Amino acid sequence: MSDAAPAARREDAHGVVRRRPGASFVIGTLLVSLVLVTALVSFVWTPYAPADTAEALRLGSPSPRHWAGTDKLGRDLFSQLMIGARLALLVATGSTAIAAALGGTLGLSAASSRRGFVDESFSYLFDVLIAFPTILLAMLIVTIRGASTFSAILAIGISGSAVVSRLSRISAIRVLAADYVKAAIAGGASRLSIIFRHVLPNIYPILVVQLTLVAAGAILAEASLAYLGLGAPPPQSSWGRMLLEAQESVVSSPWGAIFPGLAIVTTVSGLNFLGDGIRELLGPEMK
Amino acid sequence: MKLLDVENLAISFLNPERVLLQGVSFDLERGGRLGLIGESGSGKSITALSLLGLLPESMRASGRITIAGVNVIGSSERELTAIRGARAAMIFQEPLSALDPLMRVGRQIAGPLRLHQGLSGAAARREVFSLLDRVRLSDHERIYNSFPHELSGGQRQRVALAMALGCESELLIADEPTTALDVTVQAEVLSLLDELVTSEGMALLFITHDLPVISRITRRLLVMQDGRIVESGTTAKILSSPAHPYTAGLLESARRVTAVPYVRGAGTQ
Repeated sequence: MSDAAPAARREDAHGVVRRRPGASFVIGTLLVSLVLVTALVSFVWTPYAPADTAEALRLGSPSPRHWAGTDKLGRDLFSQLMIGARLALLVATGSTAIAAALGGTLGLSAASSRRGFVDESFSYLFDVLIAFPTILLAMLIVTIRGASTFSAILAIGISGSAVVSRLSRISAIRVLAADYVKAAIAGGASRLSIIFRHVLPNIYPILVVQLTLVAAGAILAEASLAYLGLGAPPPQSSWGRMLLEAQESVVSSPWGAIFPGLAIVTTVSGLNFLGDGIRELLGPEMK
Repeated sequence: MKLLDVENLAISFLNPERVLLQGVSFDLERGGRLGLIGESGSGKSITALSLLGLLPESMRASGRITIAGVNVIGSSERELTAIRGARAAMIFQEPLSALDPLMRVGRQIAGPLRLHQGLSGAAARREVFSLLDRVRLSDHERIYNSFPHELSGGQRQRVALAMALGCESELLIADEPTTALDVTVQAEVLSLLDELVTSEGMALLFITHDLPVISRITRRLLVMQDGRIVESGTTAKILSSPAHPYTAGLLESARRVTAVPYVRGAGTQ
């Protein structure tokens, strides 16, 4: 064992060095769990009903009664933040699932297609999708389908799938060139069974890292859409729409903008830390 | 009908076009054995891959290859899948890269069993154990649950051999199966292969660059150089009186290497 190696270091089946979870992994897990727990608790308890208006307390500052202050209608901001966490996580998981399913399918089909033009046309498609701004695509989909949570998830998922498909295509091509795939084909295995038996298990660590980043991007994108009024319509609480509603009074009462902003930063950086942490766990070879 | 019939096989790179193999013809009857020898880059492995339609996209094969009467060149992927494993199995040079690093060995051996014998669950597991027995791996439970990197080189090649046997095919194509192994392990794997091919009644196409190895395993030999077969005949005759200067050179170099006296401990300093 080299002197640079910490005690927990060991090699896995790949010869990839696995380490004890690093600081980013711990911070990421803590932040993401914080948001997750908040969202779960909001189902059973919030300090006030989110639509409850306390007339006396419009644009209130944080106080023992209203931890994050109140908005222009006197609604409790902390309760809205808690409920907003649900939407953020719903959008993150939903669009990441779409990105994984769509991107994975396209990328793996491109990689395993034996006809060059299929691979090439898929690759052009990914390039176009990557070049297309998420917000623009989202506006297009919202225009067609109308503003709803599902429209936002769909739009963000589709634009996230471009990066996922590219990455899975490249990683799958590397696995498909391996001798064990040749051996499996020589043994009579079908293309589909090779994808499920050999390709997916070998590329999933790389994909998981990418998917945490897609999830972080999804939360930002949802907040941007809501801020533009293209996200989930009221009464659904959304951090992005809280920002929008706090905009006109941001100078006199900045709390309505600061807290949703902090919530977004916490969740997105939590997911980014988590992605970094997983990458560190998988060792330098996987970067 | 011959089990394997290769006629005027030619393989070339497409872009830029370059001929790798030309005018290669040979055949192999059921239960027969044939050695294919040549130096690195002579086209041996490409020949082996082309037999099962495994050539990379960048290469094209022409000519005629039939396995048990089924055409290989020009066949669809589905027709090829019907031959692969069922009619002919293959083992590769480097057993570590020929096994999936993330899958337990037992599951890998069970793969062809499911495909070709329709076995799954406990029946497949029993059959895997019996295959492990046949390749002389006695520690069934441990081997079954091991990952490839937890096994030694010789054990890995035995596992690869067990996978090939599980196909119950009539032809085994062995592409330098002993090259990556230690000399002592080489001898064990070689005699195991020899024995199994006989007891299973398989035909064997054995590819190597190693003359001493091939002289132990096949009676018929093809010598390949620069993508052509330069000499063919019985192993004994080729070894005793090579007709082609290339074969003579190959023999001479093998003799020179074996003539170097073995000095105990010389390699350890």
